Amino acid sequence: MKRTVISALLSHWLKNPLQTLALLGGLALATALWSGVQAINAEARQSYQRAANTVTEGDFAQVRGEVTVKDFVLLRRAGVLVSPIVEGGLNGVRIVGVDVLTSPRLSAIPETEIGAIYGPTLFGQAQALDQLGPMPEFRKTAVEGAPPNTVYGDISVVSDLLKRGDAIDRLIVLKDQPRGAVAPEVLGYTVTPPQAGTDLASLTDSFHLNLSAFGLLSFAVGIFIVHSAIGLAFEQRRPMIRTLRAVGVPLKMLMRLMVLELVILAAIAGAIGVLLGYFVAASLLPNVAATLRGLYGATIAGALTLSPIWWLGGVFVSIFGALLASLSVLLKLWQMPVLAIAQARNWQSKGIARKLQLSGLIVCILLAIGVLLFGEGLVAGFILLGALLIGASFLLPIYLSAALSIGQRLSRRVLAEWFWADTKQQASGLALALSALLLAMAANVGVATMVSSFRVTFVEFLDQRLAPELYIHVDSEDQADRTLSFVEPVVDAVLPLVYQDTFVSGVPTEIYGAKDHQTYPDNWKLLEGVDDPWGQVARGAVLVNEQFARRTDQWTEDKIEIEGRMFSIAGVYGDYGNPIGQIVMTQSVFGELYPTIRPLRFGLRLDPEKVPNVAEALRQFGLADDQIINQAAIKKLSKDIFEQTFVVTDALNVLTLAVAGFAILMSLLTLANMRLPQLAPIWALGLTRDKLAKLEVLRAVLFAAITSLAALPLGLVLAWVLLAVVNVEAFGWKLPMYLFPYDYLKLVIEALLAAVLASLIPAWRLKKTSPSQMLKVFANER
Amino acid sequence: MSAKVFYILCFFLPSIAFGQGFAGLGRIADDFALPQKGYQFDFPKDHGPHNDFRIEWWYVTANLIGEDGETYGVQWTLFRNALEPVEAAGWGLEQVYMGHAALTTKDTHFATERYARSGVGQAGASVEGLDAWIDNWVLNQKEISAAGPDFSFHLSIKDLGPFIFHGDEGYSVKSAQGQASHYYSAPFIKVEGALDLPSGEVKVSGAAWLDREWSSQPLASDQTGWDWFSISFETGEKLMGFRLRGSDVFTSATWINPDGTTEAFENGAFQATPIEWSDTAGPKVPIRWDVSLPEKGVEIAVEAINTDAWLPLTVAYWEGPVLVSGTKAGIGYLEMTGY
Amino acid sequence: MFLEVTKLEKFYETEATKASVLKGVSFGLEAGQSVALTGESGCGKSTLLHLIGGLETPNAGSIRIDGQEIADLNDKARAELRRETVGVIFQQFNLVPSLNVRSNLEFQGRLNGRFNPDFAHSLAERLGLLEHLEKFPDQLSGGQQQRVAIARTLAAKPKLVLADEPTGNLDEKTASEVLDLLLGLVRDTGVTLLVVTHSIKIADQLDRSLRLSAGRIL
Repeated sequence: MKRTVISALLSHWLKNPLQTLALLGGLALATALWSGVQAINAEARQSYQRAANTVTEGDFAQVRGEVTVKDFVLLRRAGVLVSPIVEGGLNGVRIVGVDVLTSPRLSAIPETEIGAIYGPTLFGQAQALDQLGPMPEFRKTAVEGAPPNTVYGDISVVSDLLKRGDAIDRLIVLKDQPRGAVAPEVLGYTVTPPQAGTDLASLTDSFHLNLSAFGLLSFAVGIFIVHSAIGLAFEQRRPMIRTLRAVGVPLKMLMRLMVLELVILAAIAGAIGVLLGYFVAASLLPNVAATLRGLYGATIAGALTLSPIWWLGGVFVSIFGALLASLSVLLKLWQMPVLAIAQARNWQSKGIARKLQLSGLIVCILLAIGVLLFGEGLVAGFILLGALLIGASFLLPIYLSAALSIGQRLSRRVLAEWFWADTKQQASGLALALSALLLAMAANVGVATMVSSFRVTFVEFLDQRLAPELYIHVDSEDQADRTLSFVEPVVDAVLPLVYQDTFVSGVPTEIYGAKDHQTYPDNWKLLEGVDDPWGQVARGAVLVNEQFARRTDQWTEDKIEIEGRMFSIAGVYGDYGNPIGQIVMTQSVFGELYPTIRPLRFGLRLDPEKVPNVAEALRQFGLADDQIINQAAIKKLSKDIFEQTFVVTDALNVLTLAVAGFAILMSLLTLANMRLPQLAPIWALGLTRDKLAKLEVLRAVLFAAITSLAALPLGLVLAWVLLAVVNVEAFGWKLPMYLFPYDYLKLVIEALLAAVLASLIPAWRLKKTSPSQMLKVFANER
Repeated sequence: MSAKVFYILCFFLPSIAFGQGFAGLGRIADDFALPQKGYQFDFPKDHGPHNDFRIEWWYVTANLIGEDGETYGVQWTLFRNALEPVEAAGWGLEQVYMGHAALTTKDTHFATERYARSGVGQAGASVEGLDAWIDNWVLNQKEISAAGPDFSFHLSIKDLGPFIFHGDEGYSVKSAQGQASHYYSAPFIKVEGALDLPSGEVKVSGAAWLDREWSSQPLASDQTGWDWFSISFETGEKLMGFRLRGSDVFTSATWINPDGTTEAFENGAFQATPIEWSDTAGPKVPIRWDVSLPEKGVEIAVEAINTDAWLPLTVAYWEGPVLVSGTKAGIGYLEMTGY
Repeated sequence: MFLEVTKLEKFYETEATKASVLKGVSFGLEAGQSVALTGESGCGKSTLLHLIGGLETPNAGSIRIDGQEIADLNDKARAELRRETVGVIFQQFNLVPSLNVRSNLEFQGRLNGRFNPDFAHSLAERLGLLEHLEKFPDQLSGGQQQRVAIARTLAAKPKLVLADEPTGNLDEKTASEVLDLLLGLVRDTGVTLLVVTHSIKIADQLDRSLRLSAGRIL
């Protein structure tokens, strides 16, 4: 009996290739986007991990100043794990000698190659090695992960090369010190902390968050397709199911077999989807790779691997999605009396559907309000997102019908009147596909708004924080004095950067002393503040960062106590990416609070065109490369990262819309046969098929347009949730939200285009419908 | 330094090669000096490094009893590996030193390592008396101390005791083909001091055993590793025995009387048979042995106090304190390499 | 001659077969005449009606309505013909499902611009539709639907009304009511009527009767 039932069930899919295509295609696309995004995410994470592991000597605290080999041995024999660094330049390349026996592991020196160090061998990026020129007595080994323009070698090799003898430049202090080791400071040495790199972790996380959101939404869109395909298949199989039940097939067996059938179809679709996802990921990966190159200057392995886990994951997701999509249909089948099965659409009567939608909507609204009021954490943020999206899709049919009623009421011509009425009638059949479009668009609007807001904020923030054209840091006050007297005549201004870590209002806080200079009022944008905040700062007030303000709940015009003195807050500034509190005061007040702290870091203001010359002069003067930082380079790096992020988000935008377009196409195709009785009378009354086909396309555009109208506000709400809820939960600060009308317009046009493309095939088929097929509508046999 | 660094560095160093077992020790000595039978030891010069030999070690193991009544084991080792048979100067890599320190309790085993080059003075040994060091780890007439990330120990030497010579007056044969090393020991060192453990400080006292050995090719090419026993019997006698595993097993032993006089036993007299194996942080190794030296009436069982005394270092092996029972009871140290 | 059909041929071709439905049909109709087109099932009478109504195209021959040749019109011109000149009443499923009775009734007239509210109102009144104007087709009985179709057709003031078994789907009593209404209205408006029917009773009530058999007029 089982076999008979199975073949009866399966025959439906063979007889209705379009539905089969919709089911398999929908599931495959959903799986593809999901697994593609997962793959990119996983690959990117791995690469971040690899890149974040890029270790240079700058990642360690260092003993600087006048250090000799005696100090090295003295410290080692005192039990402190330090390792010597010799540094110099040759043909414009920085050359670093490290002691391979005591050095912590540095990325520039690959493990597998180091045995050759006694060779002697130099390591670095190929470009840097080439630039050194021919050196027959050295072996050169290219290392991709090495820092740019820098060549490494064992200290024995580099000392010879630079003719430095036993002299060393500085010592790096290893992170894990043995039990009972004294601090170098105790022995009278000055230790400088590790170089503070740009904190890119937030950027990285936001990138992943975007991708994950996309993956999830794409999958949801795919599930809508599948849901409609399964719903339709069930509708059409009602008579068959009734017959099967009537001849005595037990309901349980029927259910089991239908689930089995679904699982098999979903597994096939899942496998196709994994392959598709692989291609999606593989084609997007170069951009991700480029992003990572921008982020870390590190290369990511271009090749993707299709691991078994990935296959399993994709197939599982597909099956899960199919079962999810068919849950309601199966439940209805379970509850339905045998004879009712054939009463078409009784379970989908408008009243019940409307009630279901309304109750779903109410549940979602309540959930959203609950999360907003009581929710905490990233999960709550995502629940809020989900409630919003699902609620919106429940709301869509109600909204569509209302919008179309307005159109109907406004129409004067009879054809227009019919067009609206007919469109309204078709809306219910397209509701699911349009929900998919709604979600796709809203997600795109939301993520685009988030990413773009992030960019605007961050670039502004960089402009604010990195206003000086050059940054230098020196090793000692002595060097500071010498360097300043050298550099002051050639630059417009020198802004000393001094800070002290302390606790203010119980919160760990960095206090910065800023020179009273136009740079600050020109560039720093405050979230809030009094009039002329920098003037107030010059007169003894302070500015605090958002983190400090939030944590201590002390805002503009509040008074705070720092080191026993009271200060008034003149304003609050955004400080993105900084985990701790920060306070800016004027340099003279800082000097009074911390008389012993002398600036070792300086920002230099000068004509940007003079930057290369001044930097070179500073190098000639004796500053090492890592003591001079070019602001333009940092900014360019950050901006490049965003550009690349956008390439990937754009590509995913288009793909998500394509999936929604596919949903519309499938719905239109399956509706096409039901459309004929609607259209034939109009045709008979004097409209050409051509005109009707054009109206069909217009109708699809109208649907897309009305849906877009809803998607925009929904997307903006999504963006708000992402920026004000999810972002706060994920990264700890709120991002200002900006609007990007041009992007939204582009998106709407893309959505309309997708709708046009989706409607072209059904419209073309309508145009080619023969009159005799039209006339059959009126004939007896119907 | 990273694990791989030394791994590959050691490809060049025929001294202690691993991975392919300890067989690398069997490589040909090139222009390095070779141990000579009849060599006349010259102290204190011979406490210092022999840079013209490829490999050399200062090797201390100590069986200790804590104030808490627990038994502890301590290992302090300095290896010298020469890339070239010359003294190193400055940053030169000709002489590379590797330090191993370990501390074994009943249930925990700590181990750590250091590397250094001798030219700048970060590691080395004196020719003017027993004094070897790497960083702040020292071994001299007065103290033995070392520190790792999670442990440190500091032992004062109360009495160094006599030096004894293995094999033929310090010429210790390692294979039937005649590979050999210069080998002397100080097996009667009395120490007391303190161990610093994550759980707190423990005062200890006990006996330490120093081995000094240097060579340029101590193993035959087919030999893959060794099992080395140093046993202190309650009666005051001591036994050093090793078993080199190759296509044949080669054994050698030294019987040390309480007064420091010795009897050397040639291949075959000393027998050691693995009885029970155990998992460790590394490979499975025998942690219970039947050991016999019939000519001295020795029929004993040697059993690890902590079975997992594996040193998971760049050069990895098993080294830990043992308990001895049988015809004579005692304590000692067991080293197993090449598993 | 208001309607002149000459040597009209129509066949349906599939890859394997060619089925001739009309094999040279010729006849004429004077303006204002009511004519029945009878014949057995499958004799091609519906096809003939569709050809005259501009719903299908003939393979050969000529159809002239009020002097205008329609046999070789293109799609657009035939749509115009359906809109402006002829009104077709089908056996069933005549109405636009998404529009209510009022809109259906007004549809064709507003489409061709001849809609007159007073005239439409009088038609609706005569056909007893006034109370149903806001209902949708699926809320009406078959007879009511057919009355809407008749009202819609006449409200558009066509020159020629074609009816394809207009009462074929109705019970006897309703059929005769609907037919009476149709014929009464046709007479009052003076429109030319061609009714496809296999009912002799209907044919008897018309001016004349044409019989189609095996693709030819007898």
